[in-house]
Amino acid sequence: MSTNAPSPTIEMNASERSTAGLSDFSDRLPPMLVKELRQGLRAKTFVGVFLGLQLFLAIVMLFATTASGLDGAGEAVSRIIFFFFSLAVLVVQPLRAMNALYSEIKTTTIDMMVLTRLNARRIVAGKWAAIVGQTLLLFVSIVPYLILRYFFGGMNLFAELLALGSLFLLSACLTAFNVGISSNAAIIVRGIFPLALAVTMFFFMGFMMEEFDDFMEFFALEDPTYIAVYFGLLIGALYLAWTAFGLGVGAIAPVSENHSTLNRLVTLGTMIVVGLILILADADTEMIPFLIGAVAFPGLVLALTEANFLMPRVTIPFVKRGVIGRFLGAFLYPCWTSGVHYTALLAVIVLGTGAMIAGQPSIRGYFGAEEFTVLCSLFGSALFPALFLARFQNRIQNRLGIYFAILIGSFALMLALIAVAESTNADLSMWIFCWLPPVHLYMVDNHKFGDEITMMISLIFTGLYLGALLIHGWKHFKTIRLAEEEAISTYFTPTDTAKKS
Amino acid sequence: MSQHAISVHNLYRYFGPLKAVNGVSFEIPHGSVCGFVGANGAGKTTTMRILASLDYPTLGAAEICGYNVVSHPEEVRRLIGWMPDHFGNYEHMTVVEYLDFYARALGYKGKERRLRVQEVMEFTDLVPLAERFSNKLSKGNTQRLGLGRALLQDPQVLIMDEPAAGLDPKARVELKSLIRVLANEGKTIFISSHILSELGEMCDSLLFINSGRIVHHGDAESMKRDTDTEGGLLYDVQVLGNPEELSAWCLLHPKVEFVEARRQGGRLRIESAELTDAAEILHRMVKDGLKITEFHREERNLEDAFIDMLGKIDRGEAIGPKPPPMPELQAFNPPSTES
Repeated sequence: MSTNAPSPTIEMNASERSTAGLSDFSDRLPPMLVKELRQGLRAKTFVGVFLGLQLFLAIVMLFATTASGLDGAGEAVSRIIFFFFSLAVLVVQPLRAMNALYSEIKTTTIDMMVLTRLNARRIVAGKWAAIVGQTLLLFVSIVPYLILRYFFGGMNLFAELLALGSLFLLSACLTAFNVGISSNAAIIVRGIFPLALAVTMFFFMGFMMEEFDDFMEFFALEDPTYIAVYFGLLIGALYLAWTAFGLGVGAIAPVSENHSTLNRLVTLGTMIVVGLILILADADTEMIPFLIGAVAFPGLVLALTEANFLMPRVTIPFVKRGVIGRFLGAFLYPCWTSGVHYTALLAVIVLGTGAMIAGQPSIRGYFGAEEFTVLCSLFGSALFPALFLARFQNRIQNRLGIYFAILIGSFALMLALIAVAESTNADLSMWIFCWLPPVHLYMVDNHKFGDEITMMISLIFTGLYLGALLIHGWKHFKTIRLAEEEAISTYFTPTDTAKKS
Repeated sequence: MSQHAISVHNLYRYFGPLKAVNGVSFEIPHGSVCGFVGANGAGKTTTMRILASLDYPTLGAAEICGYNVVSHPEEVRRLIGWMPDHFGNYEHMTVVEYLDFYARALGYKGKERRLRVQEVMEFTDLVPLAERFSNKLSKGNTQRLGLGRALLQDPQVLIMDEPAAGLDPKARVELKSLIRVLANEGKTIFISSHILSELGEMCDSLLFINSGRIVHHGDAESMKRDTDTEGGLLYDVQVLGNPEELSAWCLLHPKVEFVEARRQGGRLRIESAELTDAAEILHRMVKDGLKITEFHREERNLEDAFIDMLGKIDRGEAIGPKPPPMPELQAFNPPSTES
């Protein structure tokens, strides 16, 4: 050993000693992941879940071993493993993400983070990766129990592994969803959705336990329809997670970053992919407008809750492509006006698809006036809260929270009106409230109003609301025009499109 | 390099009907220490958050070393250190891990990262607290940690929002000496505080804001001078017996104004600046039966200047440049930073 090399234990001063332990995580790991792992692995929730699961599975195995002579002991063990693994990864772990970003926003620690070299996407991804990393640890920790369970016999290895892997993937998607929406201050967004998802997962777990054999049969993927459904569900979960993730990123990113364009393109892409899968899987054609409408909904909500504030800098990639770029920008810029145009485009696709197949005798299934009314009513319901946002936009800070409050409120009002109308036998008085899109669902179900008339009413009001939004958007089109003009004058010379600075 | 470290032009920030910042303009040269003074709700924090690229102006421009804070936040964020008035710390994370996380997030790697964390901990005297959980520190040590974090990337411009709020006198003195060291290193420091006397000692210039408007920008002396429209000299007078006798006596003597009550007397303004007039007034007080135990002249301090300025504003007297009316450009608010 060189005489110059200091002995670390003797010659380190207090300051050097204090930082000696900072190599516990490699520099290659993302900083957010390091932070979350350092915190998370000391957190009681994860340690409790991890130890609890291990202890419980060990006890189950012990009992199963003593009862291994009995028929169905192996399947019973599988059920127990699946139940407790699902509880941990589909309920507990995603719920831990419920406050992931909001806690940082509330304590202003997010301000410190965004001032570093971490961009918004890396911050949100780090939050997500840390929880999913712990979920992965749970997943890996149950593998020994699965190996033991194999010796009990009667195990479809592929199906059980695929099922466990899919549960893990679903958990990752749910976590991404919860992390993304945890950026919103409104409890109606940040609290209700994760709790609703957790409750749904509970029901799903109940269904899984009850129909365990069918569940495993599905994951064996021996039927081509199952494969199509599996990939459809996978795409749906990934898309929903991506959209919510984008919401989180957009909430903490500076306005000079454009995250909306990509989100809007992903929505359009997913609508096409879902449509193609449904056609290729030879699914009922009547499902297509509803499913692509469901895909359009998150994209529509994000577009209609944008602020009318456009940084000239984000228009550059569009402006430098000339007239076509600026035309595309009118649908894809991260602002309210373009959001309204984008919504109109979604309306054309979703309602256009419905209109194309409505009444066609050649389609699989049936899509008539009643189905088209439901589609129109749902689309109109999604537009309805945006009218309030447009009217009071300069007073509203949390647009997403207000949007969902009005949306939920409009459905609650519809239920209340139905209760009153039916208890007083005055259901025809619902005509008075035909301006409220959710009411059309009742009208079409009631049949007293006439299917064709209800369809026309629903189409007229949805069209009116869309028209009102478009007029409002056009009145504020100068936001786009000014940003583009400033981008042209600041970043481009008249003869050359080179950036000035 | 831009001529000014901080440059703000006609900055407006409205939160609905609330005009938090209302047409603010100022410039701070490189290497200077500027104090930002104003009552609670005057618009200090909003202005500072905009400068730190954490909030957006409704209209107007703010630049750090020539970079617009809205259109070039990445560049701005590489140049500034931001220390808010209060900030949350993480659970289950020690002081050294906290700094290590931010050092990683700032792009430091390996040995360089450890050395930078060491340097900052030594500068802010956090080495003895390295293994303490960051959310269990005292207010003073939390502020040290915040300063350490802000200094990790060796910023050119340090923006500090009420760094001394809630600190005990010892911690305040220590913080002041740290700021002085940083100023001597040539960093531009923009600091807000309620402790005006400390700002007066530390700062090259002071910026006073009221109701979202800048009402004064200059050094401490010009501040005292500009706001002293009353003239005369201030005296601290203490009496034996009932101190209200002093205020009653002042009411009968128009050349003497009772400025404020103190524990056993009060603070008086004598209209004349002549010492002979002061001696005459003292003589008259004694003659009128007041038992004077102390009578000494006081320097006019920044608090007086600030109070006088607020008084003038309350009386509707013109202070500072009137902001230009906000052009009708933005139909809506910029996105909220508190979603």
